[in-house]
Amino acid sequence: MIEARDLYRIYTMGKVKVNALNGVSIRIRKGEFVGVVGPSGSGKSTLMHLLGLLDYPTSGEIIIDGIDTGTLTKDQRADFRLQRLGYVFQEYALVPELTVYENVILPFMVRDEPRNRSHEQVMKILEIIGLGERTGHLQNELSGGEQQRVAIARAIAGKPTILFADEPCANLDTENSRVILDLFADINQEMNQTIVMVSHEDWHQEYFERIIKLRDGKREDASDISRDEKPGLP
Amino acid sequence: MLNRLKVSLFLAVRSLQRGNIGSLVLTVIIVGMVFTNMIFMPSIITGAIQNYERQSVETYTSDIIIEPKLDNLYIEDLSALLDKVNRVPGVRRAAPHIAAGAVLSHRGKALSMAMEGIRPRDEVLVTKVYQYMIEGDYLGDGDTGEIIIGYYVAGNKDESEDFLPSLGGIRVGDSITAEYTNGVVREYRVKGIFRTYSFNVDYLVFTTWDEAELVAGMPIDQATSVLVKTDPGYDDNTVKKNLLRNGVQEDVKTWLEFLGNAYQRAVESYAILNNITIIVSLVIAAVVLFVVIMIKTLNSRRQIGILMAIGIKRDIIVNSYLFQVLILSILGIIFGTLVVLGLTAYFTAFPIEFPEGNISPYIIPAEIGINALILFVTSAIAGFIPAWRITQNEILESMRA
Repeated sequence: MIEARDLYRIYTMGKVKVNALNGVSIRIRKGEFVGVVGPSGSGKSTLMHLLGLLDYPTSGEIIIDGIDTGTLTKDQRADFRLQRLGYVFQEYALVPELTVYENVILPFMVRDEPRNRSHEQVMKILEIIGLGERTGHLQNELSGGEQQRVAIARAIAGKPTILFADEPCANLDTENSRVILDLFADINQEMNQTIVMVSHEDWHQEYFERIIKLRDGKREDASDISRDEKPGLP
Repeated sequence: MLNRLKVSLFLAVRSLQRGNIGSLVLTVIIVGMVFTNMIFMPSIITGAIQNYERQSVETYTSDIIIEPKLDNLYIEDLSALLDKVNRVPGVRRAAPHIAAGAVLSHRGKALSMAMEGIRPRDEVLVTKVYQYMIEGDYLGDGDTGEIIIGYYVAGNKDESEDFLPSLGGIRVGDSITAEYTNGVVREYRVKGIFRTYSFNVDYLVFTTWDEAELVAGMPIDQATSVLVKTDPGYDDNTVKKNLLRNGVQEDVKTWLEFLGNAYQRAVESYAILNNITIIVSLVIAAVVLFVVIMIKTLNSRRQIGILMAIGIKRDIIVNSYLFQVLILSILGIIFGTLVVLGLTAYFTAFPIEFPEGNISPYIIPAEIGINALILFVTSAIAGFIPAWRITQNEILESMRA
């Protein structure tokens, strides 16, 4: 599903070069709930940004669903993200002037999907995340946990191939964090949704099916892809 | 493409509906006031020009004016000329004027004036001075020993209230002495005082043709000018051509030609003032909308980054801001139009008083459309630039803002 090989990401800050990722290779299979963990500055978010096509690797290749993403244009990458990837960020990043329902249906509108089917799907997912009764509320009428649940609904409503979550509980208290993590676990098990989640909290690890550990831009755990293995192109 | 525009419009409408209502109302008011400024101030200037032209035609030049050919002081063989002119298609009536220089005096005040001899029966068909009598009556055909004088000639007892040298507060029934350049001295009773609000006319004195002949001591068959009123539906230039084609040898000018190049230049100067007003207004509108959208986009940088991250294309985001600006400018233009119409209705009912007369705004409907379009396009550009710039950032850069 996702194969990343020899990923390097070097940031240039003035005359200083920072190696955020130093040759990371990973493989994530369909339906996995993978946690990316590591201390601050280990390259977790950088890896997620690369896998989520929000940034470009300095070198290396990323293959998602058999597509070499390095060959995509800027517009194709935007389409790819819209059609196949879902994101949940630390900030809830809802459009404040849209209701819960409108925030979730927005990607459907952009994809120009039939209104009835979109409506059914959005309502179904809002029921699943427990916000079926609050569809008409605006962002400022929701708690932090509820806002993050809306962001999750927006991310998964379109049934993405992969759901990326970048420290989604960073702004939440433990109780709300547990609600979100339970929700991720349910989505993963009941919908067979592939999830890649970045976290620095140790207690989150009990939720992950598999853990990728990073330190200083390198994998600390055993790599699940050998250097000589051919990439999974169709 | 159409779907993307629909999404942009959806986001724009929601942003305006549920965003800061105070900011929305203020922006609409500013755009509305700018539009009012673009239309209303020029309409006052246009109103003043229209007023001056109407006054000139109604009270000073009529539609066409015939003057002696170059180097001649008088139009000779007047009766033959009048017969000819009055038969030309499109001519309603021709009225001759004969001017004679005189010094008018009253209680120690003296003024050097041109006394215009007129034929009142013809004159009322070509000018409307008779409608502007503020005291007394207009001249009758056989009147002698009586004159009517302009408001500025009559003047005020308090000289500080006079724009021009005057006879110091003449009233109807007062007696004025006139010493003509041919040595004749006549005593006149002031029959009426007129005020047309045209400097040219309100500084004139009219006598009858009979009186002019008494001063000359003989019948007069010459004129210093002949004013010609055209029939309704006839173009001044067409009638002028008809006059020339029918053998009128004198210097024939339409009222616009008579007012001359200096007047045309003055109108052009007013047009420049109008254009400056419009440009300044547009710059204000552009800056306001630019700042409004720039603040909106800067405050939403992170949100814009997230939207781009989830696959919302840049053009959808840019167009959503563009639509917001266009909706704001449409609302502003509607508000401004209502203000302009309200002001116009008010100042038409209660005109603004100027020394040149009461001036009402004169709005050319096409100019509302043109100015609205210019404001619309300017607004679109002003809104597009900050929105476009903000979406040129990389996704992560925006998300980290």
